[in-house]
Amino acid sequence: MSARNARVLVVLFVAAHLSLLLAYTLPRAFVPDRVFFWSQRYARPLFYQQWNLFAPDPRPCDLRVEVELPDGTWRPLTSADDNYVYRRMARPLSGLVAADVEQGDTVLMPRLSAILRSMARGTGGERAGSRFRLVQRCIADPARPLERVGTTVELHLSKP
Amino acid sequence: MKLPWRSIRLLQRAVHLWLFGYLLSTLPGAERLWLHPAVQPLPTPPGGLAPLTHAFGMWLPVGFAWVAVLIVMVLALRSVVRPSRWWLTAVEWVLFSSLVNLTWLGSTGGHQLIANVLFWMIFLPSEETDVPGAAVPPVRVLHVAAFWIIRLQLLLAYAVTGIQKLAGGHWLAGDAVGIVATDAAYGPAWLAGMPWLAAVVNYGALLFQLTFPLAVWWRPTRHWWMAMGVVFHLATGLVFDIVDMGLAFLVVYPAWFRTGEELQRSPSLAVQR
Repeated sequence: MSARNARVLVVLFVAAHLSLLLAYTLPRAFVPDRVFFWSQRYARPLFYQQWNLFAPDPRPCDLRVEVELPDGTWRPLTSADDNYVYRRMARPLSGLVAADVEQGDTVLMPRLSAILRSMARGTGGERAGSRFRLVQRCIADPARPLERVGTTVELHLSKP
Repeated sequence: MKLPWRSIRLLQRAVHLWLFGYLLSTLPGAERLWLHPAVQPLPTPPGGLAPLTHAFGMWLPVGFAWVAVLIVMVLALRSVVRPSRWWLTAVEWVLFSSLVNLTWLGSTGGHQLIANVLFWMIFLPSEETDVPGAAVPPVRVLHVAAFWIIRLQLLLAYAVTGIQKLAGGHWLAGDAVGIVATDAAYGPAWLAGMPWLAAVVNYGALLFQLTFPLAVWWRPTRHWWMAMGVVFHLATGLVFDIVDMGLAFLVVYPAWFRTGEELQRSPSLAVQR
């Protein structure tokens, strides 16, 4: 293959790959439906990526799932002693639980319920009939984020 | 069709060192991450390629995860000290991608970046090669394409992160950092007590992410933005407990280092095999 043809081939290949990745990762509203469909087909299996940490807006509520211990006290699913990767799991898990609650589900999805039970086992809180709750602190005015309003929602888990 | 070999070798070493260090740092939590994972794998995506990136639960038992961790650590350490081999990198990619998808709740954009870079590193040369004459072998096309995809993947990550923020309202209004800082999961809350500083950090972060691709592409500003990137990723990593994510971005920076380009422009300095 001549050097010129090789260069053209590289440019075309790289441009096609990057274009499809862009269509896959840009905000959904920026990408036409048909292009988004093909970008999903291309990128999802091997090149999965999402670049939306704190975007388009940070979450207005901080969230925490807690489990009731046998002595009646409540504690988060992870503690400062846990490994940082394990500790980090509590954040998106709380977000998924909150999304499920916001959708109006009165009983959490089986997958989420199983994760909550499994993580509670490590806290010493998992036992038959364990109670879980979602604690939220939400901002009312973005200009005064220190002022947050707290609410607590009792969670009902699917049967194991 | 020359490649900046020294930059490639540095990239390979840095990414493999990150892999080793990241997995080593998870070992104290191996019981709940790898031995008896608290979180089960997600349903696999459709398509025939899913077994490559979602091995656990498909063709590898979840209980094999800790063995996969050890295998990737050994292979990564080997590629730090010895030339990378494409088939070893392929094994690393399959196992690491599957580990990332197994711990999907604890994974970050940094893990996704490394998984993507690792895939294209399979196609990078394992040693410095010259292409004599006018004819270019097809494998050389693959080498060059893979290298440029890795370079541009890094820029895409920054650009899209910035553009995603433009689609909302709080980043443009300057409120976003204050909201994040007062989130009990992140912090530091004191930042919101100084609204002017929170606004400076807000717009600074947005500007840094949006300008990174152009500033790194343009050689005179490249090292300045990379230096800012080091500060940005270490600061956000320490504050938000995502040091591994920050380091994942930094270990891909060598793909844009200038040493290789300078060497390829002056053949007398090039390292001869």
